[in-house]
Amino acid sequence: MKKARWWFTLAMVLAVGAAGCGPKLDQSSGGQSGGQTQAGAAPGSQSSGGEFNVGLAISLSGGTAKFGEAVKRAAQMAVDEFNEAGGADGKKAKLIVYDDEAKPEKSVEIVQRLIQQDKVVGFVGPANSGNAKAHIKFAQEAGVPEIIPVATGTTITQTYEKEDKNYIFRVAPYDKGQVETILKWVVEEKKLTKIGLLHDTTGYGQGGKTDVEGVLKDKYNMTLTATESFQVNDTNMEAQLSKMRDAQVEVVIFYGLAPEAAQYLKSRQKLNYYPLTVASWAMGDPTVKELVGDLVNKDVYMVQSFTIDQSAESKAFHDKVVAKYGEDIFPIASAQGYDCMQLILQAVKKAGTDPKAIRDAIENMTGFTGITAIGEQPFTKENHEALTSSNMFLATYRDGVIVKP
Amino acid sequence: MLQAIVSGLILGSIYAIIAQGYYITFVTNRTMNFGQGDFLMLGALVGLTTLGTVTSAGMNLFVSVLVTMVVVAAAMAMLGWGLERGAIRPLGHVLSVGWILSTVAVSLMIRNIAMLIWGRNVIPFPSPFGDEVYRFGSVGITKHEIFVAICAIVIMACLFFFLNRSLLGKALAAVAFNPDAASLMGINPRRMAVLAFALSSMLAGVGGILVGPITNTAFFMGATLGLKAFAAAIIGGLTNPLGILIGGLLLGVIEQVFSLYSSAYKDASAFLLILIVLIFMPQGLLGKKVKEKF
Repeated sequence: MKKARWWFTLAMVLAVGAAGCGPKLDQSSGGQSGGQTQAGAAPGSQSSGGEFNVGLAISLSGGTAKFGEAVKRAAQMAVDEFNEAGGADGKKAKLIVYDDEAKPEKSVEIVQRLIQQDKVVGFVGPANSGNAKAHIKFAQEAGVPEIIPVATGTTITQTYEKEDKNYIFRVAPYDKGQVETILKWVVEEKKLTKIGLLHDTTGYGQGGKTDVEGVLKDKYNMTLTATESFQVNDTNMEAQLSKMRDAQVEVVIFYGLAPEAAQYLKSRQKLNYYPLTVASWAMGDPTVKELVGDLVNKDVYMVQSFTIDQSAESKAFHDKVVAKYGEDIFPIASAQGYDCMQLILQAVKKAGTDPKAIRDAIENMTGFTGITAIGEQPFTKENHEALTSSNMFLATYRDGVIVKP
Repeated sequence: MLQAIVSGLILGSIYAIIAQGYYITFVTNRTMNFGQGDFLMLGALVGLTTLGTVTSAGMNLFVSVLVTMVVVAAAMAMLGWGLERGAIRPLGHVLSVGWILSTVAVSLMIRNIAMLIWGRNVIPFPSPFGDEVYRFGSVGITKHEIFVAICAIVIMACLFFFLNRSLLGKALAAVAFNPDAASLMGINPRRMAVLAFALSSMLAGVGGILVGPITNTAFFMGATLGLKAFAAAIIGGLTNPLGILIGGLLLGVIEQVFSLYSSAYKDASAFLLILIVLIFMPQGLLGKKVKEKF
């Protein structure tokens, strides 16, 4: 009997301990971001009447954490600058950041929290297409504008195209647009005809394959010379590359994520075969360069919307990020995150703090100057993609830095 | 084609090294560490960290590689010892297959702890010998692959010598053959079991250092590699070290050659091979045939 009581007590203690841990974990992540934002907003809140909240729901941990961190830093910078410049009619912005851990269910939770609890006027996020697909419903139904800085799944912004008002916008190179950009360069500019495609077997690569084949057929009436696939975690791509060599392709379109891109570049070196390679923007992920170093420098092109050398503004922006945070961990994600937040803040300046009015202001925004290749009028009623094949471009590595070729 | 065979042999030799770990524990006390793949991952990550520390301390290349190997081997041996004492021996009486679940459980814990320590991203594991590629005709071989080949030969030679010639190896074999008789002869079967697990984990750890620069390292890298090594052990025959060596090399080569024809079915080819071997030669290529007598 005595022993049983012991066990019971122990179980209770454990249960209470576990219960204490759960919510605390959540609060700490919320509290942390709150702390960071207060630091930014504190000087302004004394001199002005009122604040409004803007949100950021993105992965700060998980596979896409690097994107998220870069966007977070840039968004914070945009908010700070906005507040220093006096805000909108004396109203200061406060940035609320939540981590979606790259998990769709978590992203649904935090987006609801942003909308209902924090009453954000608009928010930026996420990094994963799966997360976007899971949570855009809540933004749309609540009528809160969302601008996507990273997730590239083509259909995301088209989901509510037919609705009266579509609340989902994007400042990131969407997948199909990337393919169009790649093929425009390959077929129209370089006049190459023997095209090989190397894609991964995940949804990302398969989608890429469908897009490449579709655009080639519909727009140029051409077919691929060779198609090869590889799996995530493949140790090398020598076999696939040898077959590309045997098929005498003039250009290889690579469609996969950063770790596999690194394996691809390693295999190129091993075979001593360096075909002209054009890739989606995943090739520009700093991880690739970390994994293979100088191998990125040889005839590798990828879709970008931002390079540090593209204009004086982008150089200045890059320097600002470096000055504030010591380094620019992911230049293109920083730039896109900055533009997303700028769009929301500019819209607030024009239309006040009503989310529905902000949406209209974002859609009808004119005279916008962004850091990325974004146009002066980024969106129209029909088009919620700020970056399309008309302003995305191909960049390349020179001495380990992504530049315009 | 030639390139595929060479790459396959290199990769296969790593499979074989890991697979020998299955063999050693299996013959000693009929258990295996199903977390061998995650032990390998841990070996790779510990090796990476050690190598980083040692090289930044400014040690000579070969010394630092040697130090790394010793550190990893020692750490993994400790872990193997812990695994045997903590997760296999206590369950010996409870349920005869309890060790299957407990080793998997330990491997899951290790995987998650590694994720917490080293993070979720793929970490570059630069080969200590650089990225240089040697060319023999049309075949390119990196310096690291040569290192892998040499290591594999040395490790295999040591292992064969240890198992067949040394007193300790013979004691292991004796326990494997008949634990009761062995203990009557003054061999402690429990100590032998610990030794077997320590050795097995050491092999996984060294395998991790070897494979790291080829695949890059991440907390999830162990699963596939452990499974492939297990396949190699099954193909070769769990009770024959030479068979396992051949099984590993065969698996590596078949995988690479197969991907020349269809890369999408590369992994499928490996596991199809296991199915075929198991159907026609259930004891593996070189395993001992046991006749059922009733």
